[in-house]
Amino acid sequence: MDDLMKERVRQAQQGDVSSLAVLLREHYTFLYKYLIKVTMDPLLAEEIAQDTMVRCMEKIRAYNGSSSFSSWLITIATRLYIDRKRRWKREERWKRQEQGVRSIRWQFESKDEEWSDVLDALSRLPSAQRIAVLLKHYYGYSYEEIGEILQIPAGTVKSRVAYGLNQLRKELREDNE
Amino acid sequence: MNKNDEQEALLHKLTREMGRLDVQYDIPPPSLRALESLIVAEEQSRRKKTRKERLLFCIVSVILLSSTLALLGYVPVIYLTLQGIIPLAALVGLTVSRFRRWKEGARE
Repeated sequence: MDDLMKERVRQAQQGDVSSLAVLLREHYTFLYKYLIKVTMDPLLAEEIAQDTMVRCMEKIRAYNGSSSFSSWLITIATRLYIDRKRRWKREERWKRQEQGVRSIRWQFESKDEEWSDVLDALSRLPSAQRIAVLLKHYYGYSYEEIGEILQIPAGTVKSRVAYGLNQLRKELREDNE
Repeated sequence: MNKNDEQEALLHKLTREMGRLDVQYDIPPPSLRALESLIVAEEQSRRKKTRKERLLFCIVSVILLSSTLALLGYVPVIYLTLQGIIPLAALVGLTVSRFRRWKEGARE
Protein backbone atom coordinates (compact mmCIF):
# COMPACT_ATOMS: atom_id res chain seq x y z
CA MET A 1 0.00 0.00 0.00
CA ASP A 2 1.56 3.32 -1.02
CA ASP A 3 1.83 6.39 1.20
CA LEU A 4 -1.00 8.26 -0.49
CA MET A 5 -3.35 5.34 0.08
CA LYS A 6 -2.24 5.03 3.73
CA GLU A 7 -2.91 8.72 4.22
CA ARG A 8 -6.36 8.39 2.64
CA VAL A 9 -7.22 5.45 4.88
CA ARG A 10 -6.03 7.40 7.94
CA GLN A 11 -8.14 10.42 7.00
CA ALA A 12 -11.16 8.23 6.24
CA GLN A 13 -10.78 6.59 9.65
CA GLN A 14 -10.83 10.04 11.24
CA GLY A 15 -14.18 10.73 9.61
CA ASP A 16 -13.15 12.54 6.43
CA VAL A 17 -16.04 11.86 4.03
CA SER A 18 -14.13 12.93 0.88
CA SER A 19 -11.21 10.59 1.55
CA LEU A 20 -13.53 7.66 2.16
CA ALA A 21 -15.46 8.47 -1.03
CA VAL A 22 -12.21 8.58 -3.04
CA LEU A 23 -11.08 5.27 -1.56
CA LEU A 24 -14.38 3.59 -2.38
CA ARG A 25 -14.47 5.06 -5.85
CA GLU A 26 -10.96 3.88 -6.65
CA HIS A 27 -11.82 0.31 -5.66
CA TYR A 28 -15.38 0.04 -6.94
CA THR A 29 -14.62 -1.37 -10.41
CA PHE A 30 -12.09 -3.83 -9.02
CA LEU A 31 -14.62 -5.02 -6.45
CA TYR A 32 -17.45 -5.29 -8.97
CA LYS A 33 -15.31 -7.33 -11.37
CA TYR A 34 -14.28 -9.63 -8.55
CA LEU A 35 -17.91 -10.14 -7.59
CA ILE A 36 -18.95 -10.83 -11.18
CA LYS A 37 -16.54 -13.75 -11.24
CA VAL A 38 -17.53 -14.96 -7.79
CA THR A 39 -21.29 -14.79 -8.27
CA MET A 40 -21.53 -15.20 -12.06
CA ASP A 41 -24.55 -12.92 -11.71
CA PRO A 42 -24.25 -9.21 -12.63
CA LEU A 43 -27.29 -8.10 -10.63
CA LEU A 44 -26.19 -9.91 -7.51
CA ALA A 45 -22.63 -8.63 -8.00
CA GLU A 46 -23.94 -5.07 -8.04
CA GLU A 47 -26.07 -5.61 -4.93
CA ILE A 48 -23.18 -7.13 -3.00
CA ALA A 49 -20.78 -4.43 -4.21
CA GLN A 50 -23.13 -1.83 -2.73
CA ASP A 51 -23.54 -3.78 0.51
CA THR A 52 -19.76 -4.06 0.71
CA MET A 53 -19.40 -0.28 0.32
CA VAL A 54 -21.88 0.29 3.13
CA ARG A 55 -20.15 -2.28 5.37
CA CYS A 56 -16.84 -0.64 4.60
CA MET A 57 -18.24 2.74 5.68
CA GLU A 58 -19.32 1.19 8.98
CA LYS A 59 -16.10 -0.69 9.63
CA ILE A 60 -13.42 1.61 8.23
CA ARG A 61 -12.16 2.35 11.75
CA ALA A 62 -11.57 -1.37 12.31
CA TYR A 63 -9.32 -1.71 9.25
CA ASN A 64 -5.80 -2.18 10.62
CA GLY A 65 -3.77 -2.19 7.40
CA SER A 66 -2.41 -5.72 7.93
CA SER A 67 -3.63 -6.58 4.41
CA SER A 68 -4.09 -4.30 1.42
CA PHE A 69 -7.29 -2.28 1.24
CA SER A 70 -8.45 -4.27 -1.80
CA SER A 71 -7.91 -7.56 0.07
CA TRP A 72 -9.94 -6.18 2.95
CA LEU A 73 -12.78 -5.32 0.55
CA ILE A 74 -12.56 -8.79 -1.03
CA THR A 75 -12.85 -10.33 2.43
CA ILE A 76 -15.95 -8.31 3.29
CA ALA A 77 -17.56 -8.98 -0.10
CA THR A 78 -16.88 -12.71 -0.03
CA ARG A 79 -18.33 -13.10 3.46
CA LEU A 80 -21.42 -11.08 2.50
CA TYR A 81 -21.91 -13.33 -0.52
CA ILE A 82 -21.52 -16.52 1.51
CA ASP A 83 -23.96 -15.22 4.15
CA ARG A 84 -26.50 -14.29 1.53
CA LYS A 85 -26.24 -17.65 -0.22
CA ARG A 86 -26.67 -19.43 3.09
CA ARG A 87 -30.01 -17.72 3.56
CA TRP A 88 -31.32 -18.76 0.15
CA LYS A 89 -33.29 -21.93 -0.36
CA ARG A 90 -31.78 -24.45 -2.74
CA GLU A 91 -34.26 -23.76 -5.60
CA GLU A 92 -33.76 -20.03 -5.32
CA ARG A 93 -29.98 -20.53 -5.38
CA TRP A 94 -30.23 -22.59 -8.55
CA LYS A 95 -32.69 -20.20 -10.23
CA ARG A 96 -30.55 -17.13 -9.56
CA GLN A 97 -27.45 -18.92 -10.75
CA GLU A 98 -29.15 -19.82 -14.02
CA GLN A 99 -30.41 -16.26 -14.54
CA GLY A 100 -27.00 -14.80 -13.78
CA VAL A 101 -25.15 -17.01 -16.22
CA ARG A 102 -27.77 -16.32 -18.89
CA SER A 103 -27.28 -12.60 -18.39
CA ILE A 104 -23.47 -12.83 -18.67
CA ARG A 105 -23.80 -15.01 -21.73
CA TRP A 106 -26.13 -12.45 -23.29
CA GLN A 107 -23.60 -9.70 -22.53
CA PHE A 108 -20.95 -11.66 -24.45
CA GLU A 109 -23.16 -12.54 -27.39
CA SER A 110 -24.60 -9.04 -27.74
CA LYS A 111 -21.04 -7.80 -28.29
CA ASP A 112 -20.24 -10.61 -30.74
CA GLU A 113 -17.89 -12.16 -28.24
CA GLU A 114 -17.66 -15.91 -28.03
CA TRP A 115 -19.05 -17.58 -24.88
CA SER A 116 -16.42 -20.18 -24.06
CA ASP A 117 -16.53 -23.68 -22.61
CA VAL A 118 -14.21 -22.53 -19.83
CA LEU A 119 -16.62 -19.83 -18.64
CA ASP A 120 -19.49 -22.27 -18.89
CA ALA A 121 -17.62 -24.85 -16.81
CA LEU A 122 -16.60 -22.14 -14.33
CA SER A 123 -20.21 -21.07 -13.88
CA ARG A 124 -21.22 -24.67 -13.11
CA LEU A 125 -18.57 -25.05 -10.41
CA PRO A 126 -19.93 -24.89 -6.82
CA SER A 127 -19.27 -21.38 -5.51
CA ALA A 128 -16.96 -22.57 -2.70
CA GLN A 129 -14.59 -24.10 -5.25
CA ARG A 130 -14.99 -21.25 -7.71
CA ILE A 131 -14.00 -18.68 -5.10
CA ALA A 132 -10.97 -20.73 -4.04
CA VAL A 133 -9.75 -21.24 -7.64
CA LEU A 134 -10.35 -17.57 -8.45
CA LEU A 135 -8.47 -16.23 -5.43
CA LYS A 136 -5.59 -18.63 -5.89
CA HIS A 137 -5.05 -18.60 -9.64
CA TYR A 138 -6.41 -15.25 -10.79
CA TYR A 139 -5.73 -12.96 -7.83
CA GLY A 140 -2.60 -14.84 -6.69
CA TYR A 141 -3.37 -15.18 -2.96
CA SER A 142 -1.65 -17.88 -0.93
CA TYR A 143 -3.63 -20.76 0.60
CA GLU A 144 -3.18 -19.18 4.04
CA GLU A 145 -4.47 -15.80 2.88
CA ILE A 146 -7.50 -17.41 1.24
CA GLY A 147 -8.08 -19.35 4.45
CA GLU A 148 -8.20 -16.07 6.35
CA ILE A 149 -10.60 -14.52 3.85
CA LEU A 150 -12.96 -17.50 3.95
CA GLN A 151 -12.37 -18.31 7.64
CA ILE A 152 -11.39 -21.91 6.89
CA PRO A 153 -8.09 -23.84 7.31
CA ALA A 154 -5.48 -23.57 4.54
CA GLY A 155 -5.75 -27.35 3.99
CA THR A 156 -9.45 -27.01 3.15
CA VAL A 157 -8.62 -24.22 0.67
CA LYS A 158 -6.03 -26.45 -0.96
CA SER A 159 -8.50 -29.29 -1.39
CA ARG A 160 -11.18 -26.91 -2.73
CA VAL A 161 -8.75 -25.54 -5.33
CA ALA A 162 -7.65 -29.06 -6.35
CA TYR A 163 -11.24 -30.28 -6.54
CA GLY A 164 -12.28 -27.19 -8.53
CA LEU A 165 -9.47 -27.61 -11.07
CA ASN A 166 -10.20 -31.33 -11.42
CA GLN A 167 -13.85 -30.61 -11.99
CA LEU A 168 -13.03 -27.98 -14.62
CA ARG A 169 -10.63 -30.35 -16.36
CA LYS A 170 -13.26 -33.10 -16.38
CA GLU A 171 -15.99 -30.83 -17.76
CA LEU A 172 -13.75 -29.44 -20.48
CA ARG A 173 -12.67 -32.92 -21.48
CA GLU A 174 -16.32 -34.01 -21.70
CA ASP A 175 -17.15 -30.94 -23.79
CA ASN A 176 -14.33 -31.75 -26.22
CA GLU A 177 -15.40 -35.35 -26.67
CA MET B 1 0.61 -33.90 -22.90
CA ASN B 2 1.75 -34.69 -19.33
CA LYS B 3 -0.20 -33.73 -16.22
CA ASN B 4 1.84 -30.60 -15.48
CA ASP B 5 1.50 -29.29 -19.02
CA GLU B 6 -2.20 -30.02 -18.91
CA GLN B 7 -2.50 -28.10 -15.63
CA GLU B 8 -0.53 -25.15 -17.06
CA ALA B 9 -2.73 -25.08 -20.17
CA LEU B 10 -5.89 -25.14 -18.06
CA LEU B 11 -4.68 -22.30 -15.82
CA HIS B 12 -3.67 -20.28 -18.85
CA LYS B 13 -7.11 -20.74 -20.42
CA LEU B 14 -8.80 -19.95 -17.13
CA THR B 15 -6.85 -16.72 -16.66
CA ARG B 16 -7.51 -15.64 -20.23
CA GLU B 17 -11.24 -16.28 -19.96
CA MET B 18 -11.55 -14.50 -16.63
CA GLY B 19 -9.73 -11.58 -18.18
CA ARG B 20 -12.28 -11.55 -20.99
CA LEU B 21 -15.05 -11.57 -18.41
CA ASP B 22 -13.43 -8.56 -16.70
CA VAL B 23 -13.35 -6.64 -19.98
CA GLN B 24 -17.09 -7.21 -20.50
CA TYR B 25 -17.88 -5.55 -17.19
CA ASP B 26 -15.56 -2.58 -17.34
CA ILE B 27 -18.10 -0.22 -15.81
CA PRO B 28 -17.39 3.34 -14.59
CA PRO B 29 -17.44 3.74 -10.78
CA PRO B 30 -20.12 5.91 -9.13
CA SER B 31 -19.37 9.63 -8.97
CA LEU B 32 -17.60 11.11 -5.94
CA ARG B 33 -20.61 13.24 -5.13
CA ALA B 34 -22.93 10.21 -5.14
CA LEU B 35 -20.56 8.33 -2.85
CA GLU B 36 -20.20 11.27 -0.49
CA SER B 37 -23.96 11.64 -0.13
CA LEU B 38 -24.27 7.87 0.41
CA ILE B 39 -21.66 8.06 3.19
CA VAL B 40 -23.46 10.97 4.87
CA ALA B 41 -26.88 9.28 4.56
CA GLU B 42 -25.51 6.01 5.94
CA GLU B 43 -23.91 7.80 8.87
CA GLN B 44 -27.18 9.52 9.71
CA SER B 45 -29.22 6.33 9.48
CA ARG B 46 -26.64 4.51 11.60
CA ARG B 47 -26.89 7.16 14.31
CA LYS B 48 -30.68 6.98 14.22
CA LYS B 49 -30.55 3.20 14.46
CA THR B 50 -28.14 3.31 17.40
CA ARG B 51 -30.39 5.77 19.24
CA LYS B 52 -33.42 3.55 18.63
CA GLU B 53 -31.58 0.42 19.74
CA ARG B 54 -30.35 2.12 22.91
CA LEU B 55 -33.87 3.25 23.76
CA LEU B 56 -35.26 -0.22 23.07
CA PHE B 57 -32.52 -1.75 25.21
CA CYS B 58 -33.40 0.54 28.12
CA ILE B 59 -37.13 -0.21 27.86
CA VAL B 60 -36.61 -3.98 27.62
CA SER B 61 -34.13 -3.88 30.53
CA VAL B 62 -36.59 -2.03 32.76
CA ILE B 63 -39.39 -4.47 31.88
CA LEU B 64 -37.18 -7.53 32.41
CA LEU B 65 -35.71 -6.27 35.65
CA SER B 66 -39.06 -5.34 37.16
CA SER B 67 -40.71 -8.62 36.09
CA THR B 68 -37.75 -10.65 37.40
CA LEU B 69 -37.85 -8.86 40.74
CA ALA B 70 -41.60 -9.34 40.95
CA LEU B 71 -41.25 -13.04 40.09
CA LEU B 72 -38.47 -13.50 42.62
CA GLY B 73 -40.54 -11.84 45.31
CA TYR B 74 -43.82 -13.63 44.67
CA VAL B 75 -43.00 -17.07 43.10
CA PRO B 76 -39.31 -17.95 43.63
CA VAL B 77 -39.78 -21.57 42.38
CA ILE B 78 -40.71 -20.41 38.83
CA TYR B 79 -37.82 -17.96 38.88
CA LEU B 80 -35.28 -20.67 39.72
CA THR B 81 -36.73 -23.07 37.09
CA LEU B 82 -36.43 -20.38 34.40
CA GLN B 83 -32.83 -19.76 35.43
CA GLY B 84 -32.09 -23.39 34.50
CA ILE B 85 -34.24 -23.69 31.35
CA ILE B 86 -33.08 -20.54 29.50
CA PRO B 87 -29.32 -21.31 29.37
CA LEU B 88 -30.13 -24.91 28.43
CA ALA B 89 -32.37 -23.78 25.52
CA ALA B 90 -29.68 -21.36 24.33
CA LEU B 91 -27.08 -24.12 24.36
CA VAL B 92 -29.31 -26.50 22.39
CA GLY B 93 -30.12 -23.76 19.85
CA LEU B 94 -26.45 -22.94 19.38
CA THR B 95 -25.53 -26.59 18.84
CA VAL B 96 -28.32 -27.08 16.29
CA SER B 97 -27.34 -23.96 14.31
CA ARG B 98 -23.64 -24.94 14.33
CA PHE B 99 -24.54 -28.43 13.09
CA ARG B 100 -26.68 -26.96 10.28
CA ARG B 101 -23.85 -24.64 9.19
CA TRP B 102 -21.37 -27.48 9.23
CA LYS B 103 -23.74 -29.63 7.16
CA GLU B 104 -24.20 -26.83 4.61
CA GLY B 105 -20.44 -26.33 4.41
CA ALA B 106 -19.93 -30.03 3.73
CA ARG B 107 -22.58 -29.95 0.98
CA GLU B 108 -20.84 -26.98 -0.72
